Amino acid sequence: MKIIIIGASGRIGSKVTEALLAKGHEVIRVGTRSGDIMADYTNEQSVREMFGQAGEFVALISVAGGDSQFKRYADQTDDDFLFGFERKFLSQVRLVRLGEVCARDNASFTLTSGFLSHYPNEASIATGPLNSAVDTFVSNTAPLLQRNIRLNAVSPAPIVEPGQERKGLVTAAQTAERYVDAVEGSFTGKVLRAWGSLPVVYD
Amino acid sequence: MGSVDAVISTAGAAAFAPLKELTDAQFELGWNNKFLGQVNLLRVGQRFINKGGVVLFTSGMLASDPIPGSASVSAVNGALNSFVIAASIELGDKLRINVISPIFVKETMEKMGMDSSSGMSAANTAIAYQVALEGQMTGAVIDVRDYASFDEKNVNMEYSR
Repeated sequence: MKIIIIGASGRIGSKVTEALLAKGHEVIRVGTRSGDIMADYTNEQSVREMFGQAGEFVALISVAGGDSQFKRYADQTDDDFLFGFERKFLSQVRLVRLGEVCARDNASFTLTSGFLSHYPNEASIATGPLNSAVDTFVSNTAPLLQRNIRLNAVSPAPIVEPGQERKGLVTAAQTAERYVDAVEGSFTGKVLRAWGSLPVVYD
Repeated sequence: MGSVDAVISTAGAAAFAPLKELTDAQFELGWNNKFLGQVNLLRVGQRFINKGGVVLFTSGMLASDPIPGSASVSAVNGALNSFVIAASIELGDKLRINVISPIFVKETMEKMGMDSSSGMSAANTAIAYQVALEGQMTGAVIDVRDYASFDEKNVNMEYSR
């Protein structure tokens, strides 16, 4: 099937691309500086042009939105929150909103959130809450999509090198399995965790 | 035995049966054994527990995710969850109390010849107890599914928050 991958050259995105190609899918790599189509996923006009070039698709995977501002809570400004909000939340929401008309019946969208919503640290306050926002957008919006279009999210954790899997953290290739599950499955509105068994305390 | 810092209960029996077949005796089993049995660990045991110590009970997912035949078990689990929430406000900082809500343990399902793909391993279930033991929380109902491993994705698929 024809699959658009936003952020295809990143650490996770490249493994997702590899896994889908290995399964015989047609992949359209989208990146800011490289790829089959170059587009700025944070720019509405650029995203519209990207969809125009890509044409009808069966799946869209966004592995973008990894950047946000990591500073101590006391140092965070409105701009820091807006930076993360635009990249992590709004830009991914827009991909679904603008992409829906270009998607085939039964197509799927898979967005990226992240484990900092569940395992915060003192520098993650302009990131974790936005991961939750993506998760909630996915679960609340999935039932509203027409034509059997599905919407899910993958929540990755910091990835580790092969052989270093520990404390519930997994490799980029394992993380990529969750994206493949979301594309090839038939479920919608789910958040797939690419982590587990993390004995970190949160109240 | 002297005094201890923590008491962890993973005990408790209750009866499964279709609602129309459940007897008084079966309801009483769950109430007397799983509910009062654990509650009495706190009531009787608290004077042997050091200040700042912790008591952990075990309830179960059937409180919120029932199946046919679980009416008595679900009610007991729900009662335990509510008891812990209420007890914690009276215990204050003298003693923490939490309840762990497990799902079917994978190894148990295998022993019973069931399909264990929806279960969670005992080792990962134990992480929830560790978190409740070592954390600062009190009055918490802790769902073990938060501690499912990467490989236990069926658990994650059915539950994420």
